[in-house]
Amino acid sequence: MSDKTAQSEQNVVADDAISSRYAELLSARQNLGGESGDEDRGVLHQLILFKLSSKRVAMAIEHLREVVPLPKIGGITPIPTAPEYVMGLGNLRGRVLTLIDLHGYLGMGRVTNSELAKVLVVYEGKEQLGILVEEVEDIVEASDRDIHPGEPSLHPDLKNLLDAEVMRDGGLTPMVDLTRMLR
Amino acid sequence: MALSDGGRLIDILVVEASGFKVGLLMSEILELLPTEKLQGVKVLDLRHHFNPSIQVGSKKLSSVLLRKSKDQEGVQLLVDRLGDIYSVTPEAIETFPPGVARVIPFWAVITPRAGAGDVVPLMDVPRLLSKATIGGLVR
Repeated sequence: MSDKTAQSEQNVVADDAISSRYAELLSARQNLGGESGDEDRGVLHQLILFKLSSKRVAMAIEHLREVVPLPKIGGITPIPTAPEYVMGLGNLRGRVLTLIDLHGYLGMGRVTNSELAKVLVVYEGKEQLGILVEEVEDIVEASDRDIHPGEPSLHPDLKNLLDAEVMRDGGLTPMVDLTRMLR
Repeated sequence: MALSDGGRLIDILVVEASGFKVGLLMSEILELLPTEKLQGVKVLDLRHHFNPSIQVGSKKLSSVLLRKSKDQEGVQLLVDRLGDIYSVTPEAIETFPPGVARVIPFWAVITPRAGAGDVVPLMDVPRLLSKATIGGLVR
């Protein structure tokens, strides 16, 4: 088997693992009415972890509809005179999806690794947006005791998207609220 | 505008300019004219607007006369070619989320359900006329 084929298969496995983990957590959340309580652990939230340049960033999944590999979005229609970070309009199962490159939006260049790149479909009410990120790492649970208000001065690169910080692996991971891009 | 089953259909003309496919509401269009007939009208070259490296004007272009306002003369919009006209239901038109609408000069899109094949952005004509450079010469 060539290295390229092996890499591609690994990516498929990673996609499947993330998708099934996402479905599992989504189902658990629905069964528990959105949040699970535990006296010892506090209220648990599900977070998706993804890479933003070299930084790990988290987002609560409550406004995340799905995670789609970029090639699964139908032909992307470019939008003339739009800012560079607006990649265009895609067609996801008959619904229009405006695609935004998060790196570009935050002034970090462009997402370059299209093999690992994923589109986070975020929604609020009837509005939805496809946000391209470099790589989705995992979906995890975090207690609200580990989530603290974010300090914007520590994350100026996240602009107005910083929502909070979550304690993970002995460090603070910034949490973003991507639905702000819809408003 | 056509009427069907008591529901309103919206007519959209798809045009191509500088490699981009965009839609225009037929209600914003006064008439379609070959550029040879242009005399003394203000022009807006959509190709140049989309790609400033393209020179304004050429007699090989197609054009549509846009309604500027009820009482004012129209503005001639120059494009590479005129495409098909689609009659779509309001449901086939989707507006952008506010955060996106602020940064892109389009009013909405027609969806593949409209039959155009691709998602086609619809020009926000009043916004276009207020922002674009009007008055280039047709050569």
